[in-house]
Amino acid sequence: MDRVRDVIIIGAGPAGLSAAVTASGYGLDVLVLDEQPSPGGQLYRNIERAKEDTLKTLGSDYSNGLALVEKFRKSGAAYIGNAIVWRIDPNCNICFSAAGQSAEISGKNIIIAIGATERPVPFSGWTLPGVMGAGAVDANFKSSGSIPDGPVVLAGSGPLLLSVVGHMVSLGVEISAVLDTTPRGNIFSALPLLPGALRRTDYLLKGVGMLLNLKRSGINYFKGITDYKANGSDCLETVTFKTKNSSQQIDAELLLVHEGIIPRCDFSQQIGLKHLWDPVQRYWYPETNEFGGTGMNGIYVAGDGAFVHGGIPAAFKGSLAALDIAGKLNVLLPAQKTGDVVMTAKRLLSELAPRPFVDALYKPRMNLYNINDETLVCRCEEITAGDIRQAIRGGSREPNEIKTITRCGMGHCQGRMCGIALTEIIAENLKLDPADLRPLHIRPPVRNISLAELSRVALLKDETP
Amino acid sequence: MEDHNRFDVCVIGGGLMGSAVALGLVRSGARVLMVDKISRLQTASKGNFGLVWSQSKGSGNRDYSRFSEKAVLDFTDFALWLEEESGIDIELRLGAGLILCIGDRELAARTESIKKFHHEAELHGERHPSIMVNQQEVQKLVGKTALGEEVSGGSFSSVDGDVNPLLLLKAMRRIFIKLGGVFLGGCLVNGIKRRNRSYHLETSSGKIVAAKIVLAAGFGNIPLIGMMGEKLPLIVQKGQLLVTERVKPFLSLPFSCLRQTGCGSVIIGYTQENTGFETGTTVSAAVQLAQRAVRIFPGLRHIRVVRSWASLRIMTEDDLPIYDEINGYPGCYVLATHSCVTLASLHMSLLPSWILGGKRPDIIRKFKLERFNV
Amino acid sequence: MFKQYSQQIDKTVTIEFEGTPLTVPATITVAAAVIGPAGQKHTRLSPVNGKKRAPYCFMGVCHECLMEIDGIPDQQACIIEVKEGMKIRRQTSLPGDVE
Repeated sequence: MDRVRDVIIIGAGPAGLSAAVTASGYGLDVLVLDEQPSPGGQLYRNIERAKEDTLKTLGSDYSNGLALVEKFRKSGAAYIGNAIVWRIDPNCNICFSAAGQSAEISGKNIIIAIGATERPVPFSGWTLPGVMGAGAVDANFKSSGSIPDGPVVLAGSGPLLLSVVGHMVSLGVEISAVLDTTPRGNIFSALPLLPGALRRTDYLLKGVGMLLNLKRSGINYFKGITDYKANGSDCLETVTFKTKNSSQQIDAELLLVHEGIIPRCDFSQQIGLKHLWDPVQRYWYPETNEFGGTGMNGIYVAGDGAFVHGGIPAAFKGSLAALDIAGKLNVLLPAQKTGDVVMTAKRLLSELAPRPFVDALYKPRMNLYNINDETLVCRCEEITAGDIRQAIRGGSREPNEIKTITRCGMGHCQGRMCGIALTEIIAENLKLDPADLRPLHIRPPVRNISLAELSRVALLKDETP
Repeated sequence: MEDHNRFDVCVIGGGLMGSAVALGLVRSGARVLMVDKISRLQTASKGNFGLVWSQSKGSGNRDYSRFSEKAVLDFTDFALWLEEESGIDIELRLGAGLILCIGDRELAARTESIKKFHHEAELHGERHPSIMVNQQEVQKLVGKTALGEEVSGGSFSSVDGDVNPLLLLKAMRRIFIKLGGVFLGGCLVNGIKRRNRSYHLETSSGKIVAAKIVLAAGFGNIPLIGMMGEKLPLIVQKGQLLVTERVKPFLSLPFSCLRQTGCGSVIIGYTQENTGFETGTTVSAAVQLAQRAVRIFPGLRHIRVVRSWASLRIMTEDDLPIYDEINGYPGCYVLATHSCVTLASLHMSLLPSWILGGKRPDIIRKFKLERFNV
Repeated sequence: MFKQYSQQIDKTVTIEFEGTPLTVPATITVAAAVIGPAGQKHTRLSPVNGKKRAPYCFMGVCHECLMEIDGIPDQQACIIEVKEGMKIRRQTSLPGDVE
């Protein structure tokens, strides 16, 4: 295998595929590494093998991916699926594992396009089997055609929650209740942003349609929920929740939770890029320029991993990164680059029009991290909110320090599940702005590998020229 | 900040050095403030290996060997006291520690080194607490976990051992606060002035006044001592480590390069690199550490590595600690060493009475700044 | 907890879950097979206190689906597809055994 490439792209979702298509179109030597068995990312997961009924259920949001994946397959970009990248270095070297063997390869440029994930929010009982992300269930349907078997409760806030509810309804899944935690007051802060969003009425109508469908379906739909809990001894048995006036309990096989979407910062954090805090959607994101370029030469972050804008914008962001690289590698004349960039940026801008309105409408609720002391925050190391608060009382005030004192974030997931909660708990207890804190370090290997495999990594410098 | 502005002693640095000394000071009845800034670099206290170790300390310097041996011997009572006062089990294991050798060359070098330690001890009518052991003896010490074929032996100490350094730090800080000490995290010292027989500190958390100050900030001591026009000849040494997932207990004694922690993780260490003030990890170092680990225990092959990191060891030209009062600045003490886990017991018990005005303990008489002629 | 939606008859493979043979659709993930056709609710036990855990994110982030696949521990079952003859085991509290 060629171990030095013009561009190595990590992730085969909308951003990564689009970047690969664009870069290959200018004759660049492109390699895409992706952890899944087939290209598509989370949005277009398993699309090449999707059955008719899957395509029908998920609609054009999903089936649109077919064209992109097809273009990618024809683009000439090299692709390795089932490839787990576990380290990136600032010199654009990458280590990845495939079929139980790891190798170090190098790119003149790297595009990190690993997308977004559902915001993990600790709550009482969230570690019980039977509690999972709402998007997780969509992912499981896309990749495996599996659907929930038994009564389901969906809880949280955000467009994706409504979209999953819609899918569950069409798939005939029994829904006991939908618990919407969107604060009622959000609409007031969102309204001033509505005019901008009206430039894309198609998006707004889609959202309104989802809500109408939900109401028409006759599902138990509770608005203004402030708190929900999962109960059970070995696995989920019941869900309790509070409405404005009462407390209720419902039996459920599954509780599907969705509290918004956040960028996956695995590599941007491991490599040490600067991260900023978004005060509206409350998450860390890497600092990038309009092309996804970062403070490190040759390292780009594209798509939702740079900031959550959704799948179609992610594809444009991927193209912009590829255009910038093509310009730098002199395969694209400056004038031509300017033209292509202007066109892509314009289309991206149009896609982003409704975003401020939607982000404000689904701004996470204030009490999202009012976690009681007994609740586990770090699922891997079983560290509770109380453990964290005790460390704060002991004088610690920084996420990475609290990690060393409590072990919060030291497990397999390296803080991917607890990092934001830890930040929010510290900020709340010390009355700090999360923006003044630093996210948890993610250390290589970003995904675990065996000592044997690590001991046999084919290093670049071992190669005889 | 009213509570923070007048103290007997302000300890700058809340790592293993600062916490041990601050704890000793507060235990002696002093009003103590400990401040800690958030370091950009992984600090030595949080990145270290956790050995309580004397067998390799102080080659060519019996004073330091003796000091380290005493620290290890004192550690048992120290740990008992910490656990009693803090309720934290710091996972101390003493009574066996091994420096493992692979191949004949490593074994020969180790044998030579131990011979020298014994000779130096004998010159003072003392005994060095380590012996050489061969491959079979190492296997016997380890028990049923099979050693790799290339393991040739090692040096064994029946006093050395290990501890969980993060829990040690947590316990010391917790007792410090319990005994009335004040801890201020996220506090950066920007200026130090001596006026009216006390020290006035400008910090990111406001003004602090203390009769005495202790510089215990690791490499942070360099800019601090610079504020008094002095230099501190510290040398940076980077060490990289690997840590694995939790595994079933398989190794009851620590090796200097590999140990199993209380929670079951295996820590594999460590490189010694001179790359300056940076804490980046390298894949080549990780590969070397992994290779050595599976050469020692082939059974580790399928165990998963979950993290690696690097931190900076605080070295001096002669590897010996610095404990001194700064010339022209009475009541300002500077403390620096790479061995803050092993020496924690003595840092707590020995240094405070000296800092509070007592006699400088004889055992540390040679660990002064003047030996560097800076 | 999960069932297959499609009534279409798929290509299938036979895998082993905890030593028991199980026929499953050929293109599903290991995690989907365990909490679907295998009828299980959990995929592993917490290495800290032995409590039951199940996949949470289904996209490689949460690491709750770590399973032993063909003798190799700590594999992310939610992104790995089943294969004919694949042997899947749940991890007990401490996966590693250095023997």
